[in-house]
Amino acid sequence: MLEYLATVGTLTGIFAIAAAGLNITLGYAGVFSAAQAVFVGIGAYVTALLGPQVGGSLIICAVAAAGCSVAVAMVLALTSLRVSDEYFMVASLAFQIMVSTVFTGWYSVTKGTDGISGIPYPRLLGTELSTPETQSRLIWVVAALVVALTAVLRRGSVGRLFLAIREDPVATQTLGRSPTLGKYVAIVLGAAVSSLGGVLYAFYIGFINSAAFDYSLSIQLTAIVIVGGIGWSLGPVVGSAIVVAAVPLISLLDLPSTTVGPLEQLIYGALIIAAVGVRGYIPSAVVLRERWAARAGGARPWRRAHGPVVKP
Amino acid sequence: MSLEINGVRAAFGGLVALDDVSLTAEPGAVTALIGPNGAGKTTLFNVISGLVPPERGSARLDGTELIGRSARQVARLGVARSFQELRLFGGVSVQEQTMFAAERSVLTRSRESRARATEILDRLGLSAARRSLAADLGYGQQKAVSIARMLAMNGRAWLLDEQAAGLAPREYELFCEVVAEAKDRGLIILLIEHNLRLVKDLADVVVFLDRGRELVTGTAHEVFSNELVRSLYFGERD
Repeated sequence: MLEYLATVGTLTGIFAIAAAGLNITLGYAGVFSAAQAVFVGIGAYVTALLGPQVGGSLIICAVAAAGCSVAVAMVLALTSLRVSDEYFMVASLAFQIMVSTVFTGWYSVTKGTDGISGIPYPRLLGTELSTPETQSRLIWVVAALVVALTAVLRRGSVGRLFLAIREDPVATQTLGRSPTLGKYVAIVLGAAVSSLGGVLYAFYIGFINSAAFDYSLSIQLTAIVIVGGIGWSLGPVVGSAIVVAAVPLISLLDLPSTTVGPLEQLIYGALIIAAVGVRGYIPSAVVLRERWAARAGGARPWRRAHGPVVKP
Repeated sequence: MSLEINGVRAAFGGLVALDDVSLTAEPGAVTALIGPNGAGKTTLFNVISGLVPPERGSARLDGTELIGRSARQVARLGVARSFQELRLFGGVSVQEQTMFAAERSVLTRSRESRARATEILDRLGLSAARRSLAADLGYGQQKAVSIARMLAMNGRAWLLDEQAAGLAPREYELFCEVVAEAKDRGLIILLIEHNLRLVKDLADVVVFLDRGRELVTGTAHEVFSNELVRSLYFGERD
């Protein structure tokens, strides 16, 4: 039981990393991509194929996975950004199905649904992480780094561009900026981050097959981002804790095994609808922070005061 | 340095929104566009700012042709505009969207854009609301945010689309002050207004548009006392 919980806890971290990528694309820039599982899959396959060749070097696998994902994301972005939002969603879903077919059908490389096993333990700075505990620690460190990086991204000039695009592409243009370029960057950046989740997934499980990266993973990642709080940097962790850790607990119920899978999908769908439905009723993080600041007399001790105002 | 609009014609299908409109807006002056609804005032703004391609005509800012450029390029040449429906970034804080407007690219240093945003929000009395989301503000404050973004862009020409409508007296005065300051800095200011008091107070040149045609141009006094304007716009008959 304890082992089961540890596994679930680690998977929560992995899915949080994968969802953090989608949070950049969907949460910040508002680009509804239904193909995020593609990039997790690329990360996992790169690791499964390249990992044994490089002695399980985490850095090499991560860089290669990010590189491949960026290349594929550029194709998705180039071919699809000519169309507007709803159509992009459909186009990205088609892209997801196409790549899933490649994962399943390109047997000589991916071994399709049979999958690839024998993925080595990850090696970082000359140390082999051979126990689940050390890998779990690694995964949560990476998750924390990814959350911190997306938070920094969100607060900087890139984050402001992404949010502007999400809120109003026309106003973004009349303020002198390019929504197309911003969306492009958001898709590519999100793909690179999600691929890291795939790398860590392949190392941790030690076995991958094509079924793990089909459209249902894309739906699951979307559910994580939306349920966790769309556009909030910690959202993917919260969402993952609910979707990956809490929902699978239904398998502990005395249900026939064939109903568990469909029931999970049903719950994801219900959670997305519920999260969208209660939006606007639950105060956002910004509002809560504001109220807290107002109660504290406007003083925010941990933050530096603004520098001197430059007069023109 | 001026904004010269020459022979602009724009149509949506069979509906001619602008029919051979020409006007010149000088720097350091306020040019007001007036006319009944459907006269083509906002369409003219959309043509200048690159959102609607005209069938023909030209719009030059300091001799640089704006027609044929994207909205982004026009903005980067120094044309800042507001929208009647404001088009604020509702889910973004007041400070962040003002900073965004001050940034020319993602490489602009946040410290610089923050300093500029702080200065502008102070001027517009928005300091206390800087962390609020634009969607949570009242109408008057939302209009001030729209002005804040235009100020932050540091442009050479302003296109103001009914920015004074619905303002409380104090907000209205502040708006007039900001426009007067911009005028003193030598900006080209083109505004659409139905508020005739404002037009009288602020406008140096008034252009009367009706059904896509520019009918009368002159000072506020001249235009308001023109018989055609009186009959078409004020609905007066003798």
